Amino acid sequence: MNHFNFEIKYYDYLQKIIAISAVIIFAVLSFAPLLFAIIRLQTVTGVSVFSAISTFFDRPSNLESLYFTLVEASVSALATVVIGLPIAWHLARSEWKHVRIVRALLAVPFVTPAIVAAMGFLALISEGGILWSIGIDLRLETGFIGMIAETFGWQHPGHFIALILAHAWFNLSLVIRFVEPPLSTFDPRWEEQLSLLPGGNSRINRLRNLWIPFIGPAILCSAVMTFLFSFTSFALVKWLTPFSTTMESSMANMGGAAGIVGYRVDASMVILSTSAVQFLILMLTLILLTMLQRRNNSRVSMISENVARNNHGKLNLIGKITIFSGLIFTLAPMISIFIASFRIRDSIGNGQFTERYSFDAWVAAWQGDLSYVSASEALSNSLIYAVVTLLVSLPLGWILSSTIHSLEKSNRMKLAKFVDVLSMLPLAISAVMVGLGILLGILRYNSSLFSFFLIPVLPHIMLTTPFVVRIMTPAMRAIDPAFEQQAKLLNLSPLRCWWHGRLSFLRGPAIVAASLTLAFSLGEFGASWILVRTGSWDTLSILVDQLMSRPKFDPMVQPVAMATASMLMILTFILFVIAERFRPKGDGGGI
Amino acid sequence: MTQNKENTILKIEGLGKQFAQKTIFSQMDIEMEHGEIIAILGPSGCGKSTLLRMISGLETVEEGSISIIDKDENEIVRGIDNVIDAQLVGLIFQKPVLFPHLNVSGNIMLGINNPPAKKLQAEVAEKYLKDVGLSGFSGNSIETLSGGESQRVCLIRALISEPKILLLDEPFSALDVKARRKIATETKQLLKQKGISAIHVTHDPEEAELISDRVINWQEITE
Repeated sequence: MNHFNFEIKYYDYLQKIIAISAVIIFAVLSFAPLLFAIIRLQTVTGVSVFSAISTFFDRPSNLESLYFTLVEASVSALATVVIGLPIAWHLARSEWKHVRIVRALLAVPFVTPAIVAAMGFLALISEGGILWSIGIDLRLETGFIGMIAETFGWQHPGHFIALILAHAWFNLSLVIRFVEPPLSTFDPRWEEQLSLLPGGNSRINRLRNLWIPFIGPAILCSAVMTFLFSFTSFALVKWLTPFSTTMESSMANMGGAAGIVGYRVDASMVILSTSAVQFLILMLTLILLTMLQRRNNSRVSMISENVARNNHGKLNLIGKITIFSGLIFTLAPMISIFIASFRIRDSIGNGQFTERYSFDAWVAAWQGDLSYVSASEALSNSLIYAVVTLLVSLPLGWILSSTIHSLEKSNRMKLAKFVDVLSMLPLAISAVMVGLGILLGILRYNSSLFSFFLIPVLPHIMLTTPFVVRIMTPAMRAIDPAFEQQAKLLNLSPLRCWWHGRLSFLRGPAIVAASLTLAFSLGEFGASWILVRTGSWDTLSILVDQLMSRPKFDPMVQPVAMATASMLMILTFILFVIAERFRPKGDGGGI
Repeated sequence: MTQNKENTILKIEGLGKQFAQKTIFSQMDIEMEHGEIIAILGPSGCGKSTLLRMISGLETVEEGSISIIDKDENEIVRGIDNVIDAQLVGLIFQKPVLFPHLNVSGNIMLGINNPPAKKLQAEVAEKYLKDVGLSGFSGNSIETLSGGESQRVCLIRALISEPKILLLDEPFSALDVKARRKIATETKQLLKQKGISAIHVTHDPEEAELISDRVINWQEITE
């Protein structure tokens, strides 16, 4: 018995040491490079980060990028809600056979790499693309898009519309994920009861007294999150709106010249001031999101989803049209990439082309005919980075989640909240900021690390660990403590208690977290774009960008880029299917 | 709509209901007078709730007819596209339906046609709550209410709009016997005081006797 008590005590100490170490490692990994980067930029510019904020507004190009970023992010949020809301409504308010598959398909864009999404929309809007074929020319802005530009004096409306649609496509699953649960678990008696009262005798009254209080916070949550992701979007902005810069893209463009003493101080100044202003905006947005999420969580009904769905009936014609349109919107860019990877447009002079379909681009991509590294090499680089990221992110995220949960169980709520917020903070730092942080905070101090093969893994760890925490913490909270208590009462060793009382319940969520970590690492673009300086380290997403950046005189350039993007898309899709296979029923998909 | 000439407020003739080709009930006939309280006594699952939902307009009527006399003495006939009007028919569900995003006062205000300004709402709600013995409850969150208290709030909310007919779908079934008797007696008093006709469905004969002027057995009115 004494031996058993000693074992438990020893195990408790070990747990505490591991938890504290994980929190410290995460904090150092996430924030030390940024801190060093700020110190470096302050040294180069001679200006403190606080003074830099005020200088941000003195530079017209900064104001232009701020204005464009705010406008595109706000319009993207609005468009995503407008497109996503009817889909979420019909998914939630009817009982039908394939609802889970459709919901999963609609969530695919969220895990699709941004560079793949950019290529998908380019394929969709380029000559020969689906939109171009039906007379909507968003790329060259001819036809009625050109007319809009002329009539309203709006420069490049086609590119802007393409960006908004791409952001809506990317974030559609957020609206579904937030809005569908309150709708699908919505007690039908509430609507009936209200319709029998004067407070619900008209549509406006029902909207005011029922729908807005119930799904308003969920809609706002999804809109704010879409705003957040659109605000920091890089690959889509880079490829779809080449004539405009966001704060993120202006930092990325200047990153190479920043942080060097006595050289291009203006570049360092732009990055210091822009990153400070962007960080403030993102922090405010995250605070707003946290407040809205708290409100949203209190709007959950006590009725089961199945009961509510059954009471709402079958999918009607409008519902079928809405869901079908949503699926076309989701699948069109992905199908377009695939088609574009087989379509080769040979020039026959005088601006005329002939089209042929073949596997040539796939072969050329795999062999690396047009690039420094072949797709096969880039694939192995991507996989190595993704696996190393997984080996660090999953255990680190797991331990952080376990720490948060243990603190909550022991009623140390403030400390639990602190670790929770700490683990979420990297979400307030964009991928480009993370990449710049490592570039300026580590590599500028120690340039020999430029040749360290695993340096791109660092931002991947920073960016994926918060997602692991987001998946594992609710899963841990959902475990009935009775299982672990029962295991203890059966005198099982601490390891076996953990195995039977916890691990068996966390296997599914851990597989979901692992699949999504791999998918996000494989598709990560912003930070890798800044950090991958040696050609032989190119990942698939960097290779797609490099291929597409080549002059298009060679008819194989675009198809080869599309073939490489298709490979990345297929890989992330497989990971997504694995994640969906293990996702608990009733979870909306995505993150 | 035609003018009604009798003292009848509700007339049900040859009413039937089927769900997925399964007959729930058929050939139902009921007639109710102004100010009358009827209790319909029947076993669980016989279709009592469906009947109330058809009268309220929440369910369609495809077989037989239901006609209700409104406050202007017009005859409203239930069919496929029903007008749902709080001043015509009110319904209290078996489980209390109170909106969790509103407090007691907010829930009561949903029963008022033109609710007063926000700052006056608690005062107005208190006036109504007194009638059901819940003075001082206007600011309470609905989560703090017991089952009986919740149903009292539902009751007063339904009565405020003064419907011509109030339908009670076993609203007291979750309460203990003592509380059930007390609330049934109080409900009858309130209904009589306001002159509102009511149909109360239950499977408890004692409760049926206590609340109503007339008890009807389910078997008597259906085939």
